[in-house]
Amino acid sequence: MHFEPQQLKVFTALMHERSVGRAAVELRTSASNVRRIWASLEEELGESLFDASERGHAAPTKAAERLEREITSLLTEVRRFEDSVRSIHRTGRVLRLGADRNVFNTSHFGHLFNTLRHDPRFRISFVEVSSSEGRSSLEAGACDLLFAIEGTPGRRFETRDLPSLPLDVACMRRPEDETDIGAATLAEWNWALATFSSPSLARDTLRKIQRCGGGSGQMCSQHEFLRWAEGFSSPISDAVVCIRPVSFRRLPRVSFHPLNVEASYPLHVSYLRQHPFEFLETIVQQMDRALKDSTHGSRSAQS
Amino acid sequence: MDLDLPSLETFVQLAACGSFSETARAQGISQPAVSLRIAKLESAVGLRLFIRKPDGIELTRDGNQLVTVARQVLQEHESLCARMNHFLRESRGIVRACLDSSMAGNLLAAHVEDFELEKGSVEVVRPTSVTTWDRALLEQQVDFVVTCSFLHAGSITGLRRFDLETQRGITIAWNRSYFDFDIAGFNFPEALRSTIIVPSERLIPGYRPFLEKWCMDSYGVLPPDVLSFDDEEMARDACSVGLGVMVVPGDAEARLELEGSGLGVVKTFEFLLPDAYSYSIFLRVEERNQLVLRTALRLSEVFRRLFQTKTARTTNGKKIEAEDSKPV
Repeated sequence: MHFEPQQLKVFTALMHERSVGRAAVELRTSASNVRRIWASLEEELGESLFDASERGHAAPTKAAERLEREITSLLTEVRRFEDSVRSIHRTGRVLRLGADRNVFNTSHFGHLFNTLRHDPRFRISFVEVSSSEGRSSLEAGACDLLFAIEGTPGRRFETRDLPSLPLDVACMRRPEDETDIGAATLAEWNWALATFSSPSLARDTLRKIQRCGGGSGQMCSQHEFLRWAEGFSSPISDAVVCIRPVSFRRLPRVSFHPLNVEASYPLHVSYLRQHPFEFLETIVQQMDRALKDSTHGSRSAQS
Repeated sequence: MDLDLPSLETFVQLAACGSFSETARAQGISQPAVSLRIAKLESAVGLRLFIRKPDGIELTRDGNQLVTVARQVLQEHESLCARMNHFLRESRGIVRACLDSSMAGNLLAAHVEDFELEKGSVEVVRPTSVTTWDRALLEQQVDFVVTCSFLHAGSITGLRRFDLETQRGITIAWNRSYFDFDIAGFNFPEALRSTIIVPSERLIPGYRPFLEKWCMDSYGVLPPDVLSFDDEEMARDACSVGLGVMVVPGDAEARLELEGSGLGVVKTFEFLLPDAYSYSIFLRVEERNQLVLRTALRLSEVFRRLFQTKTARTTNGKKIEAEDSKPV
């Protein structure tokens, strides 16, 4: 014998309303659906539950009265289950944002977090996910949203572009009354591009800057860049084109200036298509809008 | 929220064992079906319940919170099914009897039509490994139970007990070509120097713990190995091929039809354990169903008739008794 919660709900509605039509209204479903579930319940039990008259009135049999008496404790437990789910929803589900360490350390990401953190539907936690294991951690459910420079290909994932990460120039010497650094200024310097994520993407970006007249630059890893900025001896000399990290122990003489070249690192967000959280798509749109507004704002402030 | 119980069952099972393949086997479904059910439940509640790790899976905090409630839902569902089945049996005039797997139980099961009433029918079930007989009775899965018990092991509040028969002492039997025990001067600790064959807790509740405590308290030793059997016939066969010394409560010589099998048999502790073994009918205290009560009554008559013919057959066998080797 086997009862489904849905069958029991239909049964209690029928017991209460004593009519298929009214029970259907009560459950916000069709009368034929109610009749179907009633029939399946009778089949399960092997006993008739209601004597149906022509006018839609359903009179409970002895078996139905017994079932109603016995059912209450199960319904209480089912309700308790639903209540605990609802209470988890009320206090906020945990939304795990996964990203590479370098992505976390950008003002872009900080902005993104601040647009989300007032939402009552979830509480946010961060998971550090290196770029090689992004795919598996999404599949495993270790993180719900994955932010990465490269998107996550795969049929099971939904990947969206976010406004890209703007590039800055970190330099040892402060250029005189210049806030933006253009390609021409860069060409005079001995500079390097911090790779940030995958080298192939960085190579493309390097080529793009060079094509815009930025002279010839080298490549260095994010780690090398940070060591340079923190004052350790390293082969890089004048300036580094980079995504500005939010926090690190840098020398006071290092200053950051926006790079005035059409080049940037893209940012993607990915999540499982079949994720149980139904709101992921809307918050991704929300993040996209918030970031667009902020980049517009900063660009207008620059000009 | 559309809950369905199969998914909930899979969820509870998976949380308990932590392996997809094991859950699939336990539920009799395929492994992808397990993942599908979990995915369905996760989307129904809008929560992640598991984190898949390379070395297995782990419940999330939400999953952990829900699994206890889910377990309760399933438990309530099971007891609802048992109660409704009980109601249906009652309204259709079916009595479900649980007969133990002793030889007397087997004999009774073969004579069901003798204690079936004209109005009703009797369904015989045998004890399973899933639920114990007292639990099955209390949860209304069966209407009455016929079983052996030792030293009032089945005297539980909520159950009424009617003894069909009581027997005293303990019977020890062995294969004579393996063990050369002296029947006349039998010394119980001698039996404890080899493997003993005893009825299991499921066959005679209360016996095995008693025996072990008895051996420890009186002789300071435990037998090197204990083979326990759910089935009396199997125990007897194991004994006659010489797997060990059978130590069973009551007058096993007659009960297990040991004469003629060539086994050495000694009956002992008759004064220390009067009425220790009993074969009884257990009913729920609140049982009011006349059909169940009358069937149980009829069964006791059938038992008496069957048993009397049996003892009449076996009284010509020689009975060997030994002195109690040591008072407690």
